[in-house]
Amino acid sequence: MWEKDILELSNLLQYIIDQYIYEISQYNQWKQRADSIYEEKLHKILEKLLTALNLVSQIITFEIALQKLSLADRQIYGSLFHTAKEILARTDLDEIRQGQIIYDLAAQMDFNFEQLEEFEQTSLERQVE
Amino acid sequence: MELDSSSMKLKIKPISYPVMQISLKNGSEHEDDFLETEVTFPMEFWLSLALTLKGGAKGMGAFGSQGVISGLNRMSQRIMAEIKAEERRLQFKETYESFTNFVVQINSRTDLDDVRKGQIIHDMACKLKLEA
Repeated sequence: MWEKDILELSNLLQYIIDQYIYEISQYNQWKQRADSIYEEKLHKILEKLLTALNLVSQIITFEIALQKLSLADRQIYGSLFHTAKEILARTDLDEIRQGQIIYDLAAQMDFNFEQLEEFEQTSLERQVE
Repeated sequence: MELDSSSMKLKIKPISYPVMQISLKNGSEHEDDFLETEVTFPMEFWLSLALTLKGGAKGMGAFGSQGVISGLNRMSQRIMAEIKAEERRLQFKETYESFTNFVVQINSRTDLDDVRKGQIIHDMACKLKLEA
C-alpha cells in the first residue's frame, strides 16, 4: 500500500472515530428515550469500537513509521531480531541472562528511535482533512 | 591442577558467573571415577581473580607475548563486566524475565517479518529504560 493511501485510510478512520466520539457525547440525550439496558450495551459496544478503531489508526501510523526506515535501519532491526533468536536458542543462559543480553543490545541501538517517536507524535496530532 | 595421581580442572567462563565448573578425577583406573560439578563462587573470589589476571598482564611488561597480555586483560574485563551485569540482573530480574517472554512471543508471530519483529523488540527495550 502506498503511503498516500495509508494516510487517507488513517484520516478516514480518524473521521469515523470522531463520529463515534460525537455519538458518545450525545449519550445523555438519547439515554432518555431508549431502554436503559439497551443503552448500556450500546455504550459498551461504542466504547469497544472506539478502542478498536484507535488501535487500527495507531497500527497504520506505526506502518508509516516503519516505511520511513532507511535500508540500513531495516538491516539493523533484522539483525537485532536474528541475534535475539540466537540468544533465545542458547541453553547455557537462563531467561534473565537472555533478557539482559537482548535488552543491552537493543538499548544500544537508539539510532532512529527519537526521530520515529517524533514522527509518530506528529502523525497522531495531525488534523483530519 | 594435579595432586598425586588425582587431578582437578576448573573451568572459568565469565558468562557463567558466579558459577564455575569443577572436574575431579581420581587416580584409579576406573573411568567412572570422575566427578563434574558446578560450584558458585563468591563475588570476592571472582573480583580477586580479575585483579590477579590484570596484575599478571601488567607484570609481563614488554617481554610478554602481546597475545597473552591482551587475553589476560580481556578475561579480566569480561569478569568485571559480568560482576556488574549480575548486579543489574538481581535488580531487574523480573523485568528481564518478562522481556525474554515478550521476545519469545514476538519470535513466534507469523504475521510479522524479521524487520518488524526487530523493531518491536527494540521499541520495547527503549520503553523499559532500565537504570541501575
